[in-house]
Amino acid sequence: MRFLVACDDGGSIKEVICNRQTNTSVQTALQPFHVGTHLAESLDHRVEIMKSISEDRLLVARANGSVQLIKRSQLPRDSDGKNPDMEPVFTVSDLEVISSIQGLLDDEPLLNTHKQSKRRSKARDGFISLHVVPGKPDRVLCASRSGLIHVLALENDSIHRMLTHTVKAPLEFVQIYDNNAVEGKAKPQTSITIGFGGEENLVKLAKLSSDFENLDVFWQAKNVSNDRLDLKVPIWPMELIFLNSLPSAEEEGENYQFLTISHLGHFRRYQTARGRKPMSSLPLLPKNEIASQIKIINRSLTSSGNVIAANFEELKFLVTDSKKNIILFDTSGNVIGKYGNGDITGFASFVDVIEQRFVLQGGFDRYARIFDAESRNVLCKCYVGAKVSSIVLLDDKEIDIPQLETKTKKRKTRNTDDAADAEEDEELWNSLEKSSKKNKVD
Amino acid sequence: MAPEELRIGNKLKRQELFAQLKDQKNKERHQMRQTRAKEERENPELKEKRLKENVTNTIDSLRVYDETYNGAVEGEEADFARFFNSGGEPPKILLTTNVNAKKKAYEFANVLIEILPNVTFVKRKFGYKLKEIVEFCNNRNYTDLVIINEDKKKVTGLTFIHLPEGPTFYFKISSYVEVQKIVGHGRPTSHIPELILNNFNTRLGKTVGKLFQSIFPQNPDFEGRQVITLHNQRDYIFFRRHRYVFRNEEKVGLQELGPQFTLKLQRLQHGIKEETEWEHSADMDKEKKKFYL
Repeated sequence: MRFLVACDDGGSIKEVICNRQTNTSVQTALQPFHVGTHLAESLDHRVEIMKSISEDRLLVARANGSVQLIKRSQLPRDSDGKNPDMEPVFTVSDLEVISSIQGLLDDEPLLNTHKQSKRRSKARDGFISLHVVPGKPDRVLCASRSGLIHVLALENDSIHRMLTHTVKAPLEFVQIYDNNAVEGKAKPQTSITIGFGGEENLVKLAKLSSDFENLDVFWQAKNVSNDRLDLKVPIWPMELIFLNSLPSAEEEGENYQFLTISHLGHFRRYQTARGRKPMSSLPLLPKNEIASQIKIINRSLTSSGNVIAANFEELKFLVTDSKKNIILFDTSGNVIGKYGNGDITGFASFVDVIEQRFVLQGGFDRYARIFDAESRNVLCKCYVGAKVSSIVLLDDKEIDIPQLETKTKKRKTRNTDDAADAEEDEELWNSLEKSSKKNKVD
Repeated sequence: MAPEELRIGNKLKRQELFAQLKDQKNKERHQMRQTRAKEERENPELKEKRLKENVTNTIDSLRVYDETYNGAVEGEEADFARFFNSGGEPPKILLTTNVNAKKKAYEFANVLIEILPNVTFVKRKFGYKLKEIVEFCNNRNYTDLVIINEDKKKVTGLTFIHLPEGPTFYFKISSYVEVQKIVGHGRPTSHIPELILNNFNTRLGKTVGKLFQSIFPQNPDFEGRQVITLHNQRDYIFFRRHRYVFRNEEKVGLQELGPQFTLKLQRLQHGIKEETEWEHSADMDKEKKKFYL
């Protein structure tokens, strides 16, 4: 397996090459073949989002407000030359920044909202999403917590800002609707739908015109009814995932389906055709624990993480909380199990699901882990020495480890001499018969 | 061998015989040690060799492998700067208690005022949220906020919040011995003490060590000859305060100043009590040889 890990503490990107069953916590277990550090900067320049946009190109958003286009090339590994025949053969990546753009963050809008915010730490702007526009691989949407949505252009291996839209801050997510592109319905001239929301900022859907000039909000959610004490339920959507539109409703006009997770762990399902309030709101976590992410694991996903299915039923999804849990739920809110229960000791800052097979996890405990999505077992666990903010799986191939050619021990065959064997058997039977006979005593 | 194994019916006789056997064994052992000591006095190499071979297994030495133990810390400089207030100004600490604290909390606060440098105690008033307290502190350039936690008239915990952006540490407090109970204790002076941090070896341990480093100024008054020791053993951090004196070139005298207490890390959170970086759970106590600091 080969994956890139974005590390907070040194602001670097590490390439880890390992096989399944790698575990750096166990001295005798298989260890990673290679952990290479690239593009180390500093804590203030740490990577917040890392996204692979093609085989050899990466986009990286850093906390200092820069977005970098990175070229990844493969190099043969430097061998220490001690025993070249016995070393596994693989290539290592080399990362090179080929273009970058600065000044995409702005703290100002957050300072105004910080007083009302439930967040205690000083408000700092940061990147929340990075999406390649569906149907236009040379355009990238890049959003920040302060409500800035930048449209970036990738042309001739260079990156530059086309324009910026501002929406209400603070934002927790900006999700792009790319299900059309998967179905092949997306046309270059059609507008792009995005969904966004945040703390005291209800989920909104907006259309970005095909030339990116206009951003119009066309739908806004309504908060759920007050709770049983008649108190307002806090508005704080943390993540949104679109589903395919219902085929029956296509003629009727706009109909989007999506699900969200709120800060207090409420799983909500929306259909824009059915109204502005959620169809259902299900509290998932006990004692109002804080949820941070949601990922669907049993459906095919688009590149932006949307579900390629139109049905809410029988979904399985995992939700991370602010402590250390990654809990797997079904649609009715029942807990199926946990990933890394007892092993993970810190907040899981990054979780992603790859092709319904792997769950990538990285967090504040400074480990990058890959789980088997079905069995929830750890496939590999690697200490990377810094808090993990993002992981990109490059390939899941195993690396052959050269084995010493051991001479296969031939089983010694006994010289079978039938006549001698028969004689031995006869003797044995005779001795047994003798011993079994007892003298009868009258 | 137990007395029952002697197979003698008479209990008194059996015990007598067992005592004799034990005495004999003791004598043999003493004899053996005496001769060994004599040999080793003549030939010190033998002692060295014996000590090298006979290493006693302790829980500490048998600790479960931890890849972060004594490892290099990535991005240490940035991490360091985050703790040691980039301007290099000395620490300024605000000390308070939980809401509705009882007498014990204030008594402990009095003790901490003597220990922590440049500290201001503020009585906790009802109605202020932590976020507001942190804002007040930030506006007044405090570098750390320390909150004493008292429950059922006992001091149970200490929260250290590094300002302005965290992290937050919560320690459980146990085995508190007040100064008056320590026999032959001395009186502390207002000199800035030296700091000894022992056994903070893992990545988490180093972060905790840095917290204590950041709380005490980096320029101790050596003429005060006061030293604060934070000794970590099996994840328990023992707090001791002494005054030392060099009696001659070989001997050092120590006088305990007190108080004594033990801290145990329960939680490390990112920011001001936000995402959990590490939290102690009851499951962690199952494995006796796994340590985290």
